[in-house]
Amino acid sequence: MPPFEALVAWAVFAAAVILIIWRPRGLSEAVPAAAGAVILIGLGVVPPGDLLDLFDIVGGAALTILSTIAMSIVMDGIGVFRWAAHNLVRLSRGSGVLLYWNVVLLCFLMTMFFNKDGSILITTPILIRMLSLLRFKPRRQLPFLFAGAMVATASSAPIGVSNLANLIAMRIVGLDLETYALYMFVPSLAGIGCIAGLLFVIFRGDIPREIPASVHAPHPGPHGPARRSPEDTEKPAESLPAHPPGKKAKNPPVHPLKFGPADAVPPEAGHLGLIRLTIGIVVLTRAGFFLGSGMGIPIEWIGIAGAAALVLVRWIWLRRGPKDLITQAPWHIIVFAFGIYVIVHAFHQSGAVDAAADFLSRQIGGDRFAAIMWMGGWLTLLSVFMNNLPAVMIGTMSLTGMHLETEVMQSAYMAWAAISAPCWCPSAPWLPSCGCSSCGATAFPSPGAST
Amino acid sequence: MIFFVVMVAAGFALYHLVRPEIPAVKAGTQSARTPAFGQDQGGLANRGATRNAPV
Repeated sequence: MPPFEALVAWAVFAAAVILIIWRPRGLSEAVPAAAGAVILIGLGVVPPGDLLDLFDIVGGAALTILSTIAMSIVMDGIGVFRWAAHNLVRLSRGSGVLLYWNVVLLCFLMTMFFNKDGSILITTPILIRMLSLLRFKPRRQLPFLFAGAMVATASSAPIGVSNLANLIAMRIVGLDLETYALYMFVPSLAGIGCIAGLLFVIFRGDIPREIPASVHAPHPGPHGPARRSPEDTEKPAESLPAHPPGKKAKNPPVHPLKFGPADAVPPEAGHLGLIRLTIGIVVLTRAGFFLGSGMGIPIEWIGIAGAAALVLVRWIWLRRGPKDLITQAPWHIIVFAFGIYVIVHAFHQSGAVDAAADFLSRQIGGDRFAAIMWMGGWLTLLSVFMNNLPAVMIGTMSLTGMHLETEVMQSAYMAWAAISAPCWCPSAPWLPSCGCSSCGATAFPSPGAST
Repeated sequence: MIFFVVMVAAGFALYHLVRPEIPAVKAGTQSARTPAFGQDQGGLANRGATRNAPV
């Protein structure tokens, strides 16, 4: 690449990474990624002929993640997760320790069946609401919130389909889902257990031994609590109006399926069947990734089919169309993923990645253990100092540039896939945000705000 | 195939955690022990604040 073009590639890369981490005024990271890509394409640093290849690598992964998020939006709209908080308390049988591990289990499963961002966005408000109703002080809420966020992020490692970066990197190194999971499932479970265990040890003094066996809340009224004003949601739940103005609050609490939000499930019989059916579709879709990828079916097709089935079931059952998907789905993921890949591609073409690849290649020398340790360290550094998506892309490109044997390369990739899953947010507390919602930088209100 | 089975088993665990209280739902009765964890209080309904959440 000519020196001027290399300079442009470096400058655009540096500016994009800084803006993605900084996010001035809440700027979506898709904006610097898209702007950088447009500059690079406009100046001819990335030839238009490369774009189709780049989209081929990124598009499938982005569609898979989008279909998963679409499923979580539909499920949430139906009200499937409405009972999760209650069940966590009920299953804990009055034990704070059991509640902690139940929270860990829920967050783990949510990431397994949705992606890690969807898991965080769904479970964090549920946890905050639950802890608020349990009247936990902010200090006592922290163990549950930390464990929930950490486990939800780390849980994208075991099966590899819960994380956009993993999906893209697997495609680049030519690893299929079954092989990835075969190598990664058990070690990742051990890692998640370590995270949960360490947090339990660190916070054991803040986890209450005993908690209420159940929680009671006031009658939400026939129209449900869905239309609270923002001011109301800042108040403790117990201080909210328990019944419509002018009426006596004689009614005991009702189950949330009976008086839900006006735009959710109407109070009719048969919704248990709907919930079972939708969960079944999600489980079969996720499990189907493994069957389908073994048969050569692109997993994005399976994901889209699963999302379409959910939308169809909801339409048949509730006569609700896909409007909420169009308005709520984070379409910027596609723009972000494609834009950042164009930028990293140009950065790679400038020769910057090759220097690192040469150095690492000399250190590894074809040894699998050395490959795991060196690539693990390299990705740790990259993930700490930039958003995990460009970090994974650079890491993957340096890995493929080393011309290692396939098995050594895939071992090295899986070493840092485990590292990039939690993207080191908790290990880099000095960073305001690594640019990933996994750290809950935007989804995570302060515990005190909920009480 | 093994992970197909693993995922189905994990799916049962997820269902166990999120399922409604079956007796209350079937009877359609109001339970004194019923929670008020409304959908509005959690989940993607609050996504307005996080729609711009990073990936």
